[in-house]
Amino acid sequence: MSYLVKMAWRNLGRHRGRTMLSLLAIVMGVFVVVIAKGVIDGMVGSWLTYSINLDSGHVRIVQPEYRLKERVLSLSYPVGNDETPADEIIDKIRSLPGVRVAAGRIRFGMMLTAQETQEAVVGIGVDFAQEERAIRLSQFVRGHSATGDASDDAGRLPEPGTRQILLGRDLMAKLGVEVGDRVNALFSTSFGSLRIATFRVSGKMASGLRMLDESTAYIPLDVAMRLLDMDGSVTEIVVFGKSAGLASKLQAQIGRALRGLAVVPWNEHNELIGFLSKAEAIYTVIYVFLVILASFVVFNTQLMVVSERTHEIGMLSALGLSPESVRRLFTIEGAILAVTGSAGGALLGGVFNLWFGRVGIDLTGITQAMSSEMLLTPRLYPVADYRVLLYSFVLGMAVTMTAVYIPARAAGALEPTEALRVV
Amino acid sequence: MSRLSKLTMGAALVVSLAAVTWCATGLLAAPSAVPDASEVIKRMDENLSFRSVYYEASLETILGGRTNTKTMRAWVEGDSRALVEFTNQRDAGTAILKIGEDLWLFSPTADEAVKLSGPLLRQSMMGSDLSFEEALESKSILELYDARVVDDEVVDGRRCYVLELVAREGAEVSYHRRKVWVDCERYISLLEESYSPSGKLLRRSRTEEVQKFGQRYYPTSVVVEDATRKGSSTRFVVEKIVFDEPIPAHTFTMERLTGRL
Repeated sequence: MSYLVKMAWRNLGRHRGRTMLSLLAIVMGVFVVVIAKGVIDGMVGSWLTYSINLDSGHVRIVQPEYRLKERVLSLSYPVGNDETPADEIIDKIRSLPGVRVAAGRIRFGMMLTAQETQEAVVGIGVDFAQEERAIRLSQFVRGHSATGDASDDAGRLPEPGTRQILLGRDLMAKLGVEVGDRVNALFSTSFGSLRIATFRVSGKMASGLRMLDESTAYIPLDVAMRLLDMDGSVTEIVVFGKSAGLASKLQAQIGRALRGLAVVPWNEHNELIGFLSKAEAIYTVIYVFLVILASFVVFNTQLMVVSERTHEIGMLSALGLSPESVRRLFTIEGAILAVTGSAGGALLGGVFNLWFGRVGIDLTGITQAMSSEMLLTPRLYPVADYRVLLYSFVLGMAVTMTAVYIPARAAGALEPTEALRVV
Repeated sequence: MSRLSKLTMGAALVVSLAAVTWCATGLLAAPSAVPDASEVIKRMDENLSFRSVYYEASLETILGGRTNTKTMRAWVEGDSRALVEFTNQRDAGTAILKIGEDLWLFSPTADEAVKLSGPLLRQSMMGSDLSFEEALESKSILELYDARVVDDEVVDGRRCYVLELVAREGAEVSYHRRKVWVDCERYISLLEESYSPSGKLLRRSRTEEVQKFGQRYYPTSVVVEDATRKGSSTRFVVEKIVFDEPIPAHTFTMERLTGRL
C-alpha cells in the first residue's frame, strides 16, 4: 500500500501546475463553504437568539385568541384574572422542573410625545429582575451594545413601581430627549380609555437592533398593569428552560400544567422563525453545491490524467499491477488532493471567520433597508467554531472523493493490452 | 364620521364635542309630500342646536362580550368649545378639552395635557365606536354630501323620511354613503346606516330614546354598532341635560383641564 502512496505523491508532482489548479479549486470551494456557513450560522444564530430573548422565550404562554390579534397589540385577551392572577400562574410555572425563568410581559401600543414630536412605539411592561436572568436588557444600556459602541450616560433599567421608561437611542434622538428627561405616553387601557402618563427616561438602549433602538419602550410590569387597568393580568408569559433545544419538552410539561392557554415553543413563534429553524437542509444543499462546483475541476483534471497516462497504466498492469491497485493509485492521488485542499480551505476560512467573528461585517446598509422586525444587528459576526471547520472539511473530502471515484474506476477498468496500444 | 352620525349619537362629545357640529348641520322642514332633504336637515338641526349645554351621561361599550361603562359630565359652548370630564372610578380625572380645531387630553397620571393630532385623532374615543377625529368634524353635512329624500318608512312605530347621503366629489368623509331615517314629526334621526364605496355596511346607529326639552326634541339614548367588529357596540345615555345656561368662563381652560384650577 505504501508504494501506492509514494507513487501517487510522485505522480502529483509530475504536473505541478495541474495539481495546484485542482488543489486551488478544492481550497476555494471549502473556503467559501466555511465562510458561508460561518456567516449564515452567525446570522441565523443571532436572529434566533434575539427572537427568543426579546419575543418568544423558549416557550410563550398566551390566550389562544391572542395569537390572532397579536399584531394589533390587543389587551382584550389577557393571561390571568381576578380569580387566578398572572403571578399565581407564573409561580406555578416556575415550580416545574427544567424552568429557569418565567416572566410576565404586557405588550401594548403607545404614542410617545416630547417637544411637539410624536412617535408610535411598542410598549412592553416587564419584570426587569426576572428578565435580567434571561435576556439581560442591561447589556444594551451599559455600553456593551452589539454595535460595539460604548454608551456614555446611558442610565439604568427602570425601577419597579416608578414611572420610569427605557428607550432606544434612535427613538430618543427622534424625540429629542436624553436620560433624565420626561416624555408623555398616550395609550389605550384594556377598557379602551385613552390615557396619558408622564415617564422619566431612566436609560438609553444601544443594541444595534432597529426594533429596540427605534420603536420599543420598556416600563416596569407593575406600572404597566396599573396604567393599563390590567391588575393581575399580562398579555403573555415567557418561559426559559435550560436550552432552546428542550423547548418541546418544556412545552409539553407546561401544557399539562396549564389548561386553556396556548403554549407556543420558540420555533412556532412565527412563520419566519419556523422557516429559519428548519432551513438547515436548504443551507446544506447550497454548501454541497458550492463544493461540487469546485470538484468539477478535480473531476476534469483526473479524467485528463487518466487519459494521458493510459499507456503508462497499461505498462503497470502488464508488469503485474492489479486493476484494483490501479484504481487505488488514482484514488489515493484524489485523496491527497482532497485532504490537502479541504484542510487548506478550512484553515483559510477559519482564519477569515475568526477575524471577522471579532470585528464583524458591516451590514448597516442592508439592515437599514430591512423591516425593523428583522432582528439583525448592523454588524454580523460569523461563527468561528471548530464544528464549522470540521463540517466543511468533511464535506470537501466527501465531495472530492466522489468526484475522483469515476476517473479512478475508469483507470482500473482499462485492459492492459488495449492500454499499451494507446500512444 | 360626520354630522348625521353625530346626530344619531345624540349628544355632545359623542357627546359634547360633536354636538356643536351637529347644530351647524341644518336640515329642513317637512312638507306633506316629498320634503326637500335640506329642509329635513335644517329641522333636525333646530332640535340639536344650542348656545350652550351641560349634561351628565354614561357611555357603555361592549366588545368581545366585555362591557365597560364610563360616566362623564360635559360642558359645550357654541360650536368650538367643549370640556368633558370622566367621572367613573377608573377614568376619574381624565378630561378632554376642545378649543376650536384643537383637542387636548389630560390624565391624572400625566404632568401635563397633551394635544391630540395626527394619528392620535383616529384613536377610539374612550373605547367607543367613534374616533376623536369624527367628533371634531365641523363641516356642514350639506357641504360634504349630496342629500335627497328617497322614501318614507316606519321605524320603531314612527314614520320616518329616509335620507340618502352620497359623498360629494373630493369631499373627505369617513363614509361614502349613508342612509338616515328621520322621524317625520320630531325631526330626530332614529336610525342611520353608513356604507363603504363598495356598498358594505360599516356602521349602524339607532336612537333608543327621545325626550322633549321645551320646544326641542333631543335623543337621550343612542346605540352605535360597528358592523365590521362582531359584538361591538356603544350605548350613550344622557342622564341629565341642561340647555342654554351660562357656563363659567374658566371652564374651557388648560387650568380646568388639568385640575389646577
